[in-house]
Amino acid sequence: MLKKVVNRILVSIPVLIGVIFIIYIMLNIIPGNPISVMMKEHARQEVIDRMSAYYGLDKPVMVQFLIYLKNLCHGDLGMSYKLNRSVNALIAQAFPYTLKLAIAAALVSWIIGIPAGIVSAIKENTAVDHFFMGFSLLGVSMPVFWAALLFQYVFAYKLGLVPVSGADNPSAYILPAIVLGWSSAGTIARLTRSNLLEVLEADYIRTAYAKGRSQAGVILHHAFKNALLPVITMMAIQVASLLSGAVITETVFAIPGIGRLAVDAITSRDMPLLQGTVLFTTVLIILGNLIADILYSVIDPRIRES
Amino acid sequence: MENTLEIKHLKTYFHTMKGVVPAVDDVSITVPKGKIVGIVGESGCGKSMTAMSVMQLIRKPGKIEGGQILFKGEDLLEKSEKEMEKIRGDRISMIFQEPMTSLNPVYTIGHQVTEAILIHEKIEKGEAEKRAVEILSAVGIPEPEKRMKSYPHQLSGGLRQRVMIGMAMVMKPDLLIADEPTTALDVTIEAQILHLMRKLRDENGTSILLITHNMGVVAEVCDDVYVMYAGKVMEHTDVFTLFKQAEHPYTAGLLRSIPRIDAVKDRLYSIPGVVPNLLHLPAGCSFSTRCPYAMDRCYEERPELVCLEAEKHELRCFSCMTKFEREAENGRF
Amino acid sequence: MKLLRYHPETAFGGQSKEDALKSSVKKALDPEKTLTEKDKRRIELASEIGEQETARDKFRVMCAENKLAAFSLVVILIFIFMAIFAPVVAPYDPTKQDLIHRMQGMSREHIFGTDQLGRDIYSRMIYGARVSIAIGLLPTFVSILIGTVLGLISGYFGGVVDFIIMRLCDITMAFPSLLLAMVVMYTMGAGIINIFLALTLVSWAGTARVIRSQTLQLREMEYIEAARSMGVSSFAIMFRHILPNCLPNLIVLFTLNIPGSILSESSLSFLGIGAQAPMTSWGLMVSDGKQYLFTNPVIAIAPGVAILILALAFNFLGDGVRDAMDPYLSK
Repeated sequence: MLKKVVNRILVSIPVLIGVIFIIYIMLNIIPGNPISVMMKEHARQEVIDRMSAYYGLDKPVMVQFLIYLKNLCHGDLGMSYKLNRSVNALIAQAFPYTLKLAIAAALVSWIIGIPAGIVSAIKENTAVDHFFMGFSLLGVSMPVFWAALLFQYVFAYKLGLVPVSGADNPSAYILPAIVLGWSSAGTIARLTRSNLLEVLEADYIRTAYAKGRSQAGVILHHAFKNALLPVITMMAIQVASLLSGAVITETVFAIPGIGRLAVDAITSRDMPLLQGTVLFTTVLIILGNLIADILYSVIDPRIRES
Repeated sequence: MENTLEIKHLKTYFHTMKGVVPAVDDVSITVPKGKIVGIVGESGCGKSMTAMSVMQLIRKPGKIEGGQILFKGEDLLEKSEKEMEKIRGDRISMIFQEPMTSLNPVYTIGHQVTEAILIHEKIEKGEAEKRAVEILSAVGIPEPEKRMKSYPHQLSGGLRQRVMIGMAMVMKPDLLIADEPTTALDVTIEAQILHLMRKLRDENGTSILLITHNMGVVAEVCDDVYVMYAGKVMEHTDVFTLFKQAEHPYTAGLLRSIPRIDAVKDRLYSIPGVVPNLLHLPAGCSFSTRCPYAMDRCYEERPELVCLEAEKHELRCFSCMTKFEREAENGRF
Repeated sequence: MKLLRYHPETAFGGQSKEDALKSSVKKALDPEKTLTEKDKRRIELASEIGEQETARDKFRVMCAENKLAAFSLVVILIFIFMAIFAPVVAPYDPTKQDLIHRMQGMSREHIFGTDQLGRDIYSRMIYGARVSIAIGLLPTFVSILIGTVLGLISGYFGGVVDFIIMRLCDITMAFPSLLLAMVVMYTMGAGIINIFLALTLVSWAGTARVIRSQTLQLREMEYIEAARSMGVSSFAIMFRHILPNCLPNLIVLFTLNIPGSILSESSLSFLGIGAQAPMTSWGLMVSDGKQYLFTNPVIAIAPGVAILILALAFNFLGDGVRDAMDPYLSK
């Protein structure tokens, strides 16, 4: 068991290294000095030179990369060009907002998604099933920015129930959590339904009925545990991806989280900041997948014991 | 003699998009107390559906359309779902073909066997566990205490089927339905399992309805045999008559296609053709498309199940009847 | 007497059911032998059982049984028609400004009203369909193509090649896909061609994984072994023997990946790093309209509805195709 976990962790290391490498290449192949690109035409050459020296951009590319790697080993993601603050500090400042939004959205998606999936599976091919599945597919198919704007218009502007945007007030998180939660509730509900339906076809379900279990007993004692295994791992991955910043939702609702940071970095062409946020979020996703895998092997005796 | 189970004119139909499939069509089967009754036939002939109808575990789009299922004189079809839940696993148990998948992979053996007890009896968990260990050792599982903590995937197919049988027998049911219990197992394990079932029958007086496509299994354990084809009973007789003088061409075909050591032949006999699509059954006898003795009448009329020798031997075949009539006439002259 | 096992699958003298039928049909068709009534019936039976479902049959069945999928297909075709014949279908020039009639509500002349520059929203949406549909279909197709080739190679050859391709997959899938697309757009600059590249780059890995695992299974099949022992080249085995078996999966993947592409494009355009003016894209239109959300919501909401309908239609169609291809996958 422990060996398997260690093994699984070792497998993610080359992925992490590959990720670091690829992000670096992708962001540094742009021709020209990133400072002058960022400052556009109106900067004087000597300012650009001085700043380049300050950020170490006058050194050869290989040396720059090695310095970057060395700093990375100390957990240092570098300095933002634009804001003149360390990327670490900027991410640390933004992450709590993203964390709050992610937790709220994950809760919404579980509270809606899992029961909807279960009810749909039990009432397969009835009106209830069609309603929930239509609702789920709607969540998967709608553009998040559009839903966000629509909700802002209806619930914040027309009905005045909640603030239009911002992150100061807990009620400001209600709309973004619903928008974000709905779209991932769709995935969760569909997965729950299809897993439960598959499990309900299994031979051991027939055995449970033959033992004299009632339908509720069969579903509660025999179907759930098997059906929800993949859903739980899905949830771990989902939380990771929610934590990696809901770029669109944070932008529309003006929540200063990680996703917003990435968008700002792109619009202001702040390379170290973009590099830092992308690396941070990717590490989160790798961690999420890792936890999902470990979780799966902890819950499922077939994997745990073998 | 008292009958544990009497199925009378059972009809179980499946209502599919393409039409109505008569999976079980007017089937009558009697299981006397303490006997092992076999249902034989190729895959898709309605054997399993008959069994599932008795348990009333037919799933949509299947529906029991008519008939009676008398269990110790009471019609199960008139019971409510709640009453059926009390009967299932307690008075009637069932074991299935796939021991590999019929046990829940995420629970231990002990959990699943005690569950079978606790559903029907309000007793202490420790007490139930003690009884579970007892039944596991009764069905020949070595080190039952240790096995209680095992998960299904840690057991071999033969052991799993023993667990299934133990689980089914733990409440000492009046009727055990075994649906192809040995098909997925090795021949040596098969013999052991059959032996175990016979032993349990002898010890507890449990009646057994055994479903199989294996004539060897039938010869080994059954007292009475029903041969089914395309949802209908084609022939019914005791096991000795079956192997000595089976009349129905289908039964004869099944028997001829058993490989035998004592017969030297180039090629194993095979019944030509395949089981007809139940959606488009032939107008006449459902076996007519494959029957070597089929007459014109067989293609046009559906034969009835006819009783020979006072309920001992039932038969559904025109050509056999013609043959008997001819013999009878010859005998007269 | 101990009887040996009787098994229905081998009871036909080792013949498969189809073979048994074929031989009986052959016998029945023998001209030297007059057809008996029985033989005729066997032929009927054979023709009934021999009915192999072709892809076209499956498609027909899907349309007949899954009304929603059929309806979705019609919706998609209407969108495609409008996109192709945009100059004919659109009542106005999408770029023509009319500052006198700006920010008008819905009316007879302008179905969805006009935007902040007096341009007809409906006409702009029709032109915007071109971007969404092209983005929905093209990068998805190309990424599936790349994923298929890499998956085939990875699964067929195994070893180091497999290891490298699979780690590349892991790395690609480790990125949050929208963020990765954003990084690509950052590096290459905004614009429609770059969206194609970005979306292709982020979505090939899923296909590669699916095709790899299927190739691994198929490689062990007897007919593949046979082909290999006969000296058929690896290339021919991969593309003539394995690939056709992956096709149903590929069709399902293709349809189900399209809505993701459409949504990603509209998101990138909404963020201002996708399609650029004067080109129209639904995401860009929503982005333009969002500042007038409270004064004239139609500008932002209407193009969003179009995205939603198109994505929904592709999702319904994809579900239908999946059900039709493999009924065991879904239910």
